[in-house]
Amino acid sequence: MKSAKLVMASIALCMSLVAFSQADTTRKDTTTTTRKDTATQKKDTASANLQQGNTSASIHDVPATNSQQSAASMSKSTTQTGSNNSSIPKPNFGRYYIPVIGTFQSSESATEAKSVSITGDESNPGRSNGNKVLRIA
Amino acid sequence: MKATLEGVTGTKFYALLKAIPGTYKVPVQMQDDNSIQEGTVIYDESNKQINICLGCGYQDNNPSEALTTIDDSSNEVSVKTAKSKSKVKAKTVINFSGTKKDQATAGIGQ
Repeated sequence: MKSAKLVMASIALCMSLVAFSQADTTRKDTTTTTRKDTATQKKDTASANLQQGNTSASIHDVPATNSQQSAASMSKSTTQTGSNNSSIPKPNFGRYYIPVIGTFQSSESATEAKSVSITGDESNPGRSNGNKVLRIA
Repeated sequence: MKATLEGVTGTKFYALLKAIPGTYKVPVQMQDDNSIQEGTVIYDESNKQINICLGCGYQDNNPSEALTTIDDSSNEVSVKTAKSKSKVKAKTVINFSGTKKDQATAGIGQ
């Protein structure tokens, strides 16, 4: 009987811990999203999230403030920089990116050489400069 | 920076990067018993197009001019007469213009 009680108590403890952790995550989300809102709005959103069991409160549910707008613009800028990063060319010669390296197909059919391949100087690849990709025109 | 070109002539030859981006000079060189004439290589990265001209020479002031105005006299055979023997000197111009096939762009560390 004692062992059964002990097991039940441990299960109850676990359940309470899980419930507390869920409630804690919702509080964190609401505080991050409604940093400059009033205290009443905080309570409303927290209670709404708890009732719905929603652990991740979306930004669009909460009325937008200046801080949120700036955060949205920052996220937009970060996505834009991310797209810029995707346009950064991959190094094609060691750590370097040399645009001219590659295979070229002749645009004119009359020319004798149909394709020309250009490679870097393998005997002198140059010094490495950390993890930076150096662009050589 | 030195770049090696293959496919324009029968042999490989090299070109040297100049101060203007995308502009290379092909110096006079001997590759596998073949003499490579001085030339100009201009690569336009915006439209991925390359222009190679061997025998056009290289002009430091305006390298692109060597590609546009190809000297017509270079194709002609010039005959130099000495006292007893005649020298025949032929200068050929090889042109190549093409577009890049592979355009690999990816993020760093991907």
